[in-house]
Amino acid sequence: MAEIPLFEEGVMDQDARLIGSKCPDCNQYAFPAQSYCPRCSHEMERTALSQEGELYTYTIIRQGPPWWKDKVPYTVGRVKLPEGVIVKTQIKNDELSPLQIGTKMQVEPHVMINEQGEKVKIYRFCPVG
Amino acid sequence: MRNVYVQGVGMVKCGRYTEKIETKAAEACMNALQDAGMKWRDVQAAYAAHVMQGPSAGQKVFSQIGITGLNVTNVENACASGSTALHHAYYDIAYGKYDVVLVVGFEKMKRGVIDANKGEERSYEDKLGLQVMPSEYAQKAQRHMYEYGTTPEQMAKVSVKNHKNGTYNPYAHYQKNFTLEEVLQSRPIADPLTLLQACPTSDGAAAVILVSENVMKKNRNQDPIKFVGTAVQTETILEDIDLTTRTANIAYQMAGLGPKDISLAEVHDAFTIGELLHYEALGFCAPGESGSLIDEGVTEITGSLPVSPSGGLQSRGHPLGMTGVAQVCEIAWQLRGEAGQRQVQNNPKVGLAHTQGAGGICAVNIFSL
Ligand SMILES: [Zn+2]
Repeated sequence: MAEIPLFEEGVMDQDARLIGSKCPDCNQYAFPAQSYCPRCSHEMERTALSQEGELYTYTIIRQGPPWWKDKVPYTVGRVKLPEGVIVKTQIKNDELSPLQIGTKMQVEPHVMINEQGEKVKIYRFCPVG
Repeated sequence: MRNVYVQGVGMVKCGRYTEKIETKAAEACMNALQDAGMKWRDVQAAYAAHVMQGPSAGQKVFSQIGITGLNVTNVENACASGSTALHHAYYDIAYGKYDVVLVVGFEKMKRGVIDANKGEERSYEDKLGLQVMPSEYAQKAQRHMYEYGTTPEQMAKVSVKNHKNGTYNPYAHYQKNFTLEEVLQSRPIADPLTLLQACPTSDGAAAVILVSENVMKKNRNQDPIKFVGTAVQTETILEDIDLTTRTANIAYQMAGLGPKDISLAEVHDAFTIGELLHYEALGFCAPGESGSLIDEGVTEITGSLPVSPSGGLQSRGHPLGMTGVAQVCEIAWQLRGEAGQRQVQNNPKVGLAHTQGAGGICAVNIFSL
């Protein structure tokens, strides 16, 4: 079976490992990856990021943008990784429950239908355990 | 550096225009000129602040009131466009380049949630539905609730206050009171925020005329208001200090003033939680105490530090390019004692205008009698 395509190249690999960048000079990380360091402007190198982090904040979106109207409600948030970067992400929360900030979160691949009606693979985080 | 004064201000009522935006923006310019006791041909340079009105929209506005060949610059800096234009107009006069500069901010908005990527391919965050403005503020709200125990009721009070203020402002888009219950029970948009905690989609235009001391003249026997501090900053990764705090500190230092000297403020209340966060970041209260500040009524028109007496973005409206300019109109009217039923009661001497924009922009402008 053909692999489901990634929703965007360069953001994650097929196993939903996030691809960021690291500065060899000052050890700053960035996600998504960028060419030059946001701290010291040195050239950065691509690197896979930790797959676990902590929930920094979140919300349940009840009214989406026009191109996401049919997908509400859905949960989004920010997860802080050990590298210090904060990743904006969708969050698995099928029951639309209030979440606890600080909860341990893990990245996982998830299949969604894009605007063109095609299946694409995205990353999202879900609470551990 | 030369002193800079607000010689005249003017705006038109916010709403949903059937007229062309350049017609309404021209009217705002004429209102400001009349207030200043000046003619369009006295103006040496003009800034046109707008976000989505297309190339050279300013020239279209100014051609409505006279084709005089002056220096025109269009400014786009998201929701801080108007404030940013004022910042640059300040330095044009302070550094002696010009004596009379007009700043007009205007916007005719598309309906609904703002698409920040007009004409561009959307970022992956957009494609994933992660880049929605209400969600950004809702996440700040969740974090503030977690860190400080701020409540949805305290956020909703900002909407109640600003809508009440708007009922006294003839330029406000919405002139309708809402109860705390109505705000909390309105349609949820991104937890914990509800529809009545988001600014509406409005069209509008406002203009300000800045002058140097040598051309400054008494305006209805009152001295023009002095523009004493201005700063525009963006996010930094280099230090762990809030963007608004850092921007305000630059403007405070320039003005030789601090938060305790502020008589009234117009802040960026695009969403209710924003106003609470700005109380803290601008130094009006300690971190985590913004909920108490609104509970105690300090920021009401009748309080000791009124915030957004115009009705703010919540009620006056938030036509993007207009906002930072309309804030200065309100501050001028309040400092002159011309704000009618919404006149603040604390004998105001100093007004602060604060806007912030997508992409991590903040602008603070301070005015003094
Ligand atoms: Zn670096």
